[in-house]
Amino acid sequence: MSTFCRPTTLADALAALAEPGSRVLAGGTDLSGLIDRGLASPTTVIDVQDAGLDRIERCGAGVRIGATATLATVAVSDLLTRWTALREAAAAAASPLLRNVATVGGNLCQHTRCWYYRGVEWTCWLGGGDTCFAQIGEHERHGLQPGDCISAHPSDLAPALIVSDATVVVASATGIREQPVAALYRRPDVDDRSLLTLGPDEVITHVVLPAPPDASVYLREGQREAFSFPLVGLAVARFGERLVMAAAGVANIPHLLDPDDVLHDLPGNPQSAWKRTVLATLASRGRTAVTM
Amino acid sequence: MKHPITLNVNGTPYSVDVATAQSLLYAVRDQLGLTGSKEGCDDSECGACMMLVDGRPTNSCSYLAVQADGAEITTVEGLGEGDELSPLQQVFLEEGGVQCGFCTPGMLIAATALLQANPSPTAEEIRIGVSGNLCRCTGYDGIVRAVLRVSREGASV
Repeated sequence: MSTFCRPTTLADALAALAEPGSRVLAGGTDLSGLIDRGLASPTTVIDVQDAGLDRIERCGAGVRIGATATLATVAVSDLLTRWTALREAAAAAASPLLRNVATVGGNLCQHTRCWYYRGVEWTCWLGGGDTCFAQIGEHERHGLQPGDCISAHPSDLAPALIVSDATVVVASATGIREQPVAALYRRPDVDDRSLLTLGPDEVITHVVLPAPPDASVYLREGQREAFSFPLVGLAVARFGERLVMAAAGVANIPHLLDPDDVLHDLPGNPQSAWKRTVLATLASRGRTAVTM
Repeated sequence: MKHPITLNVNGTPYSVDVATAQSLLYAVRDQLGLTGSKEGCDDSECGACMMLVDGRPTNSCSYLAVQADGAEITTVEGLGEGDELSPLQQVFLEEGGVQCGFCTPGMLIAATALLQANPSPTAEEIRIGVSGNLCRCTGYDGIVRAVLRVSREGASV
């Protein structure tokens, strides 16, 4: 059985998180479902809604976003008008009502929607088992990149932040570090099935955006417009002549694309190869959108 | 471990003991006996469990009861006055916004929040406003008509 606390300072939250088995809860829209399905069993749930991490504020030529800022706030923030891809990604995620609760940090750290991973009847490779059931089962919505786990990365925000050269500030009771958003993710291997590089005692406190790109856009295809996860979500940014593209939904972590060969390393297979067509189409549209 | 919390539901404070993993939906349904809010998908997709938490429409199936400690919560039971329906509830009936009724509690909550934030929404804004709520019967037209009408008539929701 687990305990619950709602600290009012970051220091108190980090002290609680230093206890083994504790987990941070922000909006709770992902973690509550994981607890419900037995995929997470924290000894202590640390609710950080009162820890003062929800502000969006100017930071030099950029903007600093608190990890518990909601997606709804990000989608309409006047401070973020020059980060079009980020605002569009925040406005595309989940449903309008979920966006009132779901947070930036939670969106970045959410678990995959792979129906085998989330299924309570079995333990897949990512969950610590021997088999990626998606690869021998239904995987038409899964990733295109071969590997031990072909789940599809679900965060709309991650590619938008990656192409914006954003960093995350990560804190624990023993210190603070800052790293590119892309470095928040890792490809799981047999010794470590984690998709995140966060330590168990660490939490994202802020996302920091440097000076905005000259233009950016977020394009995505989901099963429906509301409450769908990105089947393919593509962020494109242009800094002068330089184009940067990153995608959700095509690999088990956000995938940085070569703008001149977006399908590189993403072969897919007969069930999922349709995503290649979608990705190439979105890339073409995105390139046009940021260069017009 | 159980946590003593206070849920202020429809203006009434309730002291309850909940487990950490207890959803707000089941605390309200099972412990308070207010069964208007429904469980559909239990995964935030359908909106049948929607409640206002401090005025914010929230999928209560994916919200822990402990998160709502001290918050002001409105469920469908709190929209009307006793046996008298709210104007929005009344026009839902009159405009065919209700068929099987399972989505209706969440739909009413989402529409109430929409009208509080935007008293004169367009049909498109209404469709976006309730896009986190699934209805398998009405085709949504009756729901949109009802929200448009209550908005046009200027009745308080």
